[in-house]
Amino acid sequence: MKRTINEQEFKTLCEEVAARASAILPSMPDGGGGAGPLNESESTGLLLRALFLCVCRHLELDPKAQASELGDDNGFALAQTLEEHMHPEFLYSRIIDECFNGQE
Amino acid sequence: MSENRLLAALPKEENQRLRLFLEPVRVEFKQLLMQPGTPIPYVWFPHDFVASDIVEMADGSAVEVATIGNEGMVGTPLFLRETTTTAKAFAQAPGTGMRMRAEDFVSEVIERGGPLHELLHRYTHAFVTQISQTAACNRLHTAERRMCRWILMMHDRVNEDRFPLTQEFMSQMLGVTRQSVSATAGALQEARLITYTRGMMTVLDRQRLETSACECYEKVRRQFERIFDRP
Repeated sequence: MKRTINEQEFKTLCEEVAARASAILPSMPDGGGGAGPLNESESTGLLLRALFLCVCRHLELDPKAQASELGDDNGFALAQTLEEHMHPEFLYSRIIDECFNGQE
Repeated sequence: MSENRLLAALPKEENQRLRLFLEPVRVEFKQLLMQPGTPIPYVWFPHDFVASDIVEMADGSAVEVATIGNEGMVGTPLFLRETTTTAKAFAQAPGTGMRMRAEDFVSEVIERGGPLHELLHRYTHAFVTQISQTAACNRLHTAERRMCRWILMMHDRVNEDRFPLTQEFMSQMLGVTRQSVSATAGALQEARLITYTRGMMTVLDRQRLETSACECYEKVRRQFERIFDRP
């Protein structure tokens, strides 16, 4: 049976990623390496990537397979994965905004 | 890669002068560009990313009020001397563009005046036309005709036949539930105007989309073209 994710489970994952943001940003591949401070676009991309990986893990999906089907934009891959697996439906964009505000 | 049309329309010397204050940027899907109640840090000039202005209600429901692509600028409130806004702006389609710090925009464009200042007056008028037309459209036209209009507006701005589009955003854009989005997209798919699979919208028949869209598409498009018609 297809695994699902609900609003509370998603909020928890977002909070976990937000709490680890300072560790995630320099530790992700190409997220540091002396290239100078990350801009908002890079930070947003890396946090969305981390969240996408957490959501895939929760749903027992292979993130590589998901990304190869949905494209390499982390935000879109995350949004589409949620749209296909959330139950009951919830407004995920707002949760992401609320959680990541001030993380950039 | 397409250029921002406002910047491209400037005389060469003015364009070069402003380049000193412009920073090339990559904008990600869903990246926040303006946030309600927060000082606007930058104005953004899209090349091929597309931004949406949406108004959110206290219960979390939201409706799109304007779309901004390479014909315009994100940060119109700043041009009107407002440092904050009540709408939220974010990237609906990722891509590249330029941005300018709010302080530089105020000193180099608003206070100094010049060709960009003049263009932004015309742009602001077209932008307000878009918002008022959208308000009337949301009230008077069917979801199917509005969806055609909106797909055409995206198509004009992304320069691609295929672009990502989540159901959540389409429901905000149309002010309807996801079930209605699904039914409306299904009807357009059935008529072979588009395909919509796993969040990817593909325009199959632009001409028939134009005839199926409401009058608002053409009215707003013409208003934006007028920005660039005059010397």
